[in-house]
Amino acid sequence: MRGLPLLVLRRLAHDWAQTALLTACLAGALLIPIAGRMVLERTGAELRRRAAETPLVVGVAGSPIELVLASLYFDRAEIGTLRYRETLELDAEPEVLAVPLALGFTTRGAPIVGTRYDYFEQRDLRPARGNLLQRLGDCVVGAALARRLGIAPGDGLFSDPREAYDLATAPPLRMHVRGVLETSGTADDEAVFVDLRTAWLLEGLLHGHAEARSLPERVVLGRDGERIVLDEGIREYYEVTDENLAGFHLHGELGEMPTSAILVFPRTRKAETIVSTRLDEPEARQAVDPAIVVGDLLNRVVRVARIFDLVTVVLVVVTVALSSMTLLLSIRARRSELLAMRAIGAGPWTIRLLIGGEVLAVVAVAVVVALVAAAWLDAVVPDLVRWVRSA
Amino acid sequence: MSDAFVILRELRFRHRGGPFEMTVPDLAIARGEAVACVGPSGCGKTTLLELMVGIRRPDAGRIEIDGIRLDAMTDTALRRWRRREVGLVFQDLRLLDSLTALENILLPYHLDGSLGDLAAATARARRLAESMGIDALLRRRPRRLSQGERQRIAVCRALVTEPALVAADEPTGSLDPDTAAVAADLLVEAARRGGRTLFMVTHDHSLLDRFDRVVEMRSLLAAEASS
Repeated sequence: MRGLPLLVLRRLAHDWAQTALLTACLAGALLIPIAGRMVLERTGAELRRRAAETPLVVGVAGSPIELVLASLYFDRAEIGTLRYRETLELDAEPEVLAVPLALGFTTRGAPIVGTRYDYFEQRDLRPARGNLLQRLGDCVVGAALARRLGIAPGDGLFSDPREAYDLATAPPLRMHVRGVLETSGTADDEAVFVDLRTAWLLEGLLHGHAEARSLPERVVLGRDGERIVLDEGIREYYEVTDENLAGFHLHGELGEMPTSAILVFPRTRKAETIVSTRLDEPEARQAVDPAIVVGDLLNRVVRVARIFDLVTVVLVVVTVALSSMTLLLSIRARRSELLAMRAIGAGPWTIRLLIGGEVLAVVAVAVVVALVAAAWLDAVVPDLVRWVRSA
Repeated sequence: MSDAFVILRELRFRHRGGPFEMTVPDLAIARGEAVACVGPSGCGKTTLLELMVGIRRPDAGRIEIDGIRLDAMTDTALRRWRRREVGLVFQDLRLLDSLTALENILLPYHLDGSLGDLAAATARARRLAESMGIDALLRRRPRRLSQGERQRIAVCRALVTEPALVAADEPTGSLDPDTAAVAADLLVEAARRGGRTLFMVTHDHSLLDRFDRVVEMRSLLAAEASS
């Protein structure tokens, strides 16, 4: 290297601490708005895409935002309980597909979504490994969650206890991982899916009893002809197996079983209008268009983001002002050196090029650092978005 | 003086924003002559040197170096001429700490790519450094060198472009007497060896016997040229 580039490089290397600090400050000032915008746009795009794919969501009357966030993005929210009967009534409607969701349980912190097979078809979810749900007690795991937890088909997955100190609630269930879904880039990647009946099993509304004759003698308290008296320690099963599968049954009417929400996919515009009109009873339940709800939500976020933009502008101006002051002080400190260059024959433009080159190099490195960091952020934004949503 | 290399005639200069005013009636320096300029502080020695090499512009009068009228040149032309024809040594040396000794010597070439071939200049710089006994120090930074070594680097920088005129502004001002004598010898010898004209401003009267001529500022300004 020679000429002015050599002088610029040597000067920046000589004052490496100042150079590094200036570069870091500028890179930070550039990165913060880029990262903020990136997270906002990604989050918005993900929310919008998912909302656009779901024409109607039905839930108990309440906050439409909470209903949409819970049923489309599996955010934890208390959204009330519908009866399964309402899904069955919608099933009877022509030109309408109703997909019930039973939410509220988790496994290792991830949401468990109880649903029907239609959900996978409607969301175009296919197993990357293993199969979809086959029987009671099965689960399929979203791609990102499986990767994060190191789960594969054939593994077992325990549901998280809802109330650790309440003995009346159903104990955790060991679910059989039947398959791992392909990556979809949606909230499905972070969820565990079970059949509706398995969700009711988690609720304790469906349970089984062991075939008393097959139990070991130590739990048998007495026999009276055909009757067998067992120890009260024999409770619900913790796992559904080939042996006990047949013993599971519902406690109550099927139509009375709880669901959290119903995703409604009308096949025609007319069916959509009819269904949304019929289902929207402000006192009892709500039928909302997720695209409208998400649009409203994002509009509010954008308004808040404008304040963030203003703060960012101030941050950038302050950073540039402080950097300029540092540069001016540095030039003043190097006055003797610059005068020597002038005396040797360097023109004013040569000096300007020299200082401009130093500024340009710092700005260029800061931009590169900011872009590299932004690219890295781009890769981790889905995790970041997930974190922002769960925080 | 028929073979005058430097001719200053009826030179008038006034400091912008200050009371200092100077008039140099006549000064001529022969080609290859080593001239020392002495005088009390504030009498205008440095100003005279700066006028002679085109760092400052006179208000009136004539400055001619090797037949070239400096007072008639544009700023750009003057800077180009100075880069090629003048070697400068400053009192505080003004070496750049960010550069190695070799890069400091080659600074004029880094500031002006059209000055000549850098490879040839580098070879010349190494020869100059060798002749001054500092060739082993060329990769070091100035702050890691002694004052005497730094002095030699500064002299090498002044000579690397093979200038016709070497101008030194109290280059021994911050040195002890022994080191100052060595530095003055070095400068005078280096200038003589290359047949260069040397104009050195100094306060140190013990150094004057090395020079072909001594210009006393007060006499010069009183229009009595001393020789």
